[in-house]
Order: sequence, then structure tokens, then C-alpha cells
Amino acid sequence: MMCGRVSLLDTKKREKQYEELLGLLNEIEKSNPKQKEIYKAIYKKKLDLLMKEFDLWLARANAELDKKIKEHLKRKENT
Amino acid sequence: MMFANPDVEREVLLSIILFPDEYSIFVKSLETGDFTLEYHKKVFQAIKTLLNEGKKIDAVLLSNDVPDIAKFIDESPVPAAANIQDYIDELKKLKLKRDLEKLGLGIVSSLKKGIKVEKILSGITRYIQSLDIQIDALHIKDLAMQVFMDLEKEQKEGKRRPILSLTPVADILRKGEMTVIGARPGTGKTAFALKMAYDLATQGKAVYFISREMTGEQITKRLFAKCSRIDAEKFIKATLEDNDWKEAANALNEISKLNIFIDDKTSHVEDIYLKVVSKNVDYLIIDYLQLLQTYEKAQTRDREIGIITRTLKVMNLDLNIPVVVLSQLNREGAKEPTLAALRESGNIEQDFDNVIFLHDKNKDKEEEETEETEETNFKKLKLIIAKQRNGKTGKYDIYFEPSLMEFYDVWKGEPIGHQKERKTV
Repeated sequence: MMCGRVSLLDTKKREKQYEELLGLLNEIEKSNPKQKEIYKAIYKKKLDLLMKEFDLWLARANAELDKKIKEHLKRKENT
Repeated sequence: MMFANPDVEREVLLSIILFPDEYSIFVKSLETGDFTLEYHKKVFQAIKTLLNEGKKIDAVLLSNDVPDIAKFIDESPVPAAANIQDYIDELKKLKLKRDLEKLGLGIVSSLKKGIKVEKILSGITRYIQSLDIQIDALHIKDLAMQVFMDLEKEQKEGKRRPILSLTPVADILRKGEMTVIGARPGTGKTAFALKMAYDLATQGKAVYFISREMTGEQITKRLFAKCSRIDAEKFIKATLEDNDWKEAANALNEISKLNIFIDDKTSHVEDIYLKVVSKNVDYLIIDYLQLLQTYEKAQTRDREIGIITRTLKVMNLDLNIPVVVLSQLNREGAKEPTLAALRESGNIEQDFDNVIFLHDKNKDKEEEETEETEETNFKKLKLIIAKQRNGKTGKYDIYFEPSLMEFYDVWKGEPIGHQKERKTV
């Protein structure tokens, strides 16, 4: 039997960050071309960061999961 | 460029621009010089300007000074904003390395040009002064405030502290000269040194006081007694009475204005130079010689003391400020001390320009009755100037009032000025 859990993603924090990004999108719509260019760059970078954080979490969670599966299989072999 | 990391610079700037609410606080700890690329300097300067104008960091506002800010954001890799403090530390370290490299190159270049060594040393000193070196000394203002708050707390809690033995100090003060004040234990060395520090500080001088015998707190309590003219024991034992608090508060006010740095951490003579130079002080007082150490290995204590006094002398000449060092004399030999009484090493006499002794005549008599006045508040001491490079030697009677940590001149056999009333500020 597998025991323990893999690290959880801070979904509440991420939800808030997505909301902020949504607000930024609204700003982009309302802004002039110069502002639009700047806000777009910020939006893109922040979104990239969110994605990067997710990728990092996914990689870490997968590694933890792999480790647990390996341990589980090893225990099964021994029994 | 060596000692630079533009990637880290960019990370820091981008993090601040993207997350101003979280990271604008870090701007305070940064300077334009922490960045090496001209573009990064420009971005940072624009950020700093916005904050100085009381505005929030905003990329659109930044674009007024940095028109292509969108491009900068867009083309930078995704930052790892969570590591900003580590990145800032890295930038600071790199900046220090660049500065040291520049200093080193400057020294070599000056030497090649034949510039005088004294001038080069002065340049190095100025550079060191410009560094924000973390030192162990505390400003008297902070210590006074701490002692005052502790006293209040201790009295409320009824806490008692052990009675501390009083110790002494002295002076003759010319630039580049080193003065030793010798006395047997319990004569009033530290109190005398404190008097010197206090008197100098009230004249607007900055004094660096290295205390290897007492903590900064203990020293400050004695200063409180001196300023408030309240018995030092009340401060030491935290037994101030209701009517003392007003005077103590006035003393706090007075002490806070004094430019005295109390350093009870420095123990090695080699460490003194940097600490003193970084505070740009007018006077250095060390309490006391025998408690100093050196990193150099010496086979005997005599030699060790010799190394210490020699190092102090070199430092004294370089700093060009008056240095006063207290020295403990042997208990043996009840008679008036002479130059021979400077114990542990002959270098003490050689390396010091001036030698002063404080002598408690009553200790001569040992078991006999003391000469203290009928109120027994005063100790009659002899101040002996045994050596003075640029002045006369001589002996003077003085009075010491241990309870108030105060010294008085003698007129017609009586202490002058002791009856002065409590001061109010």
C-alpha cells in the first residue's frame, strides 16, 4: 500500500495570481498603445512565471510519485 | 567584467518591476553602484527616483526614464523572484570585490607613481570609512536607552543584580600620542577613564571606549550615576527611588547626546584599527591592556604584552588620535608606583608617550584606618604624571567619589565642586 502524499500545489495563491492577471488583461484593453505594450510584457512574464512554477511543482511531484511507486514495488517484491 | 553578474542584476530588477508590492522594500538596500551594466543602472535609478518621489513602482511611469522598458521585460528570462534576497546578497558581495579590486589597483598605481605612503594610507582609510562595516560597538544612545528600560523593568520585577566592584581610568591627550594610566586594582581606573570619555564627549568629541572588563551595560549604568548624581549602586542594583526617576530621565537625555561608542566585544588588538577607523572618532580609550589579546603567538606573556603595545603604537601613529590605555599594576608594593611598577613588560614604558598613575594612599596603610572624610564618600587619590613626552611630570591630589563615579580637584584639602546640585536638562 502506498502511504504519504506528494507536495500540494498552493492553489489558493495561484487563484489569486490568476485573478491579478485577469485584472491586468482588463487594464490592457483600456490602455493606450504605449501602456498596452508595457502591460502586455508584464502580463506575459507573470504568466510565464506562473507556468514555470507549475512546471517546477509538477516535476517535483512526479519525482516524489516515482519514488513512492519504486518503494511500493520494492516492498511488494520483498513480500 | 570580473566580479559582475548581469543575469543576477536583471533578475533583481525584473522581480522588483513585476512584483512591486512584495519587493520594493528591497530597493532601500540597493545602490546604483551595485549594478554594472549601464542599462541596469538606468533602470534602477528610475525605480529609485519613483520611490523618492513617493510614487509606487510602476512600469508605465518607469518608461518615462527608460522608454524601452517593455522590451527589457519581454526579453528577460522568467525570474525566480523568490530568491531576491540571495540575489541582492550576491550583488553586494560582487560590489565589495569590485571595490577591493579597484582599491588594490589604485594602491599599486600610486606606489608606481611614487606617491607618499602616508597619502596612500590616508586614501585607504577614507575608503574603509566609506564601507558599511558591521562593528560590535554600540552607540551610547542605544545603550543608555536599553539600560533605562532595563532598570525600570528590574525595579518593577524586584530583580537584583550582583554588586559590581568599581574600577578606574585617566588622561593626557595629544594627537598621535599614547598614554597609559596605571593603577592597582580597585583604585578607580575605569571611573577615571569614564570621566575622561564623558568630559571629552560633552566637548563634542567622539570617543571609542573599548571595555574588556565591564559590559556596555555596566559602563552605561556608571555613566548614569555620574550624570544624574545618583548613587551608582542604585543603578547597579536597580533600587532607584521615586524621586530619582526624574533625574535618571534627565541623565538619559544627556547621555543620548554624547558621542561615545562602547565596545565590549573587541578582544584582539589587531581588530581595533578597522573598528575605530570606521567610526571616525577623536579619542580611543582601552580598558585595559592586560585583557587585550593578540593573534600573534608569543612564548611569554611579557612578549605578548610587548606585541600588543607595539601594535597599539603603530595604530596610534596611523590614526593620529590620542589613545589612552589603562593598565593594571601589581598589588604588591604598597608604595607610590613608579615607572618600574608597570608590570608584565618593559615595552609599556617604551611604547607610551605618557605615563600616569592613580594611587590610593590609603592602600599604603593597609590595615590602618583610612583617610576618608567623615562622610566616607570620598577617596583621596594621588594623580602622578610619571612620564610626559611633551610636558612636565608631577603629582597632584585628587578626590574620588565612588558612589557618583566622580573626581574632584583639591583646594585647601577639600574636594572642589562635589556639592554641585543635581543637574536638570
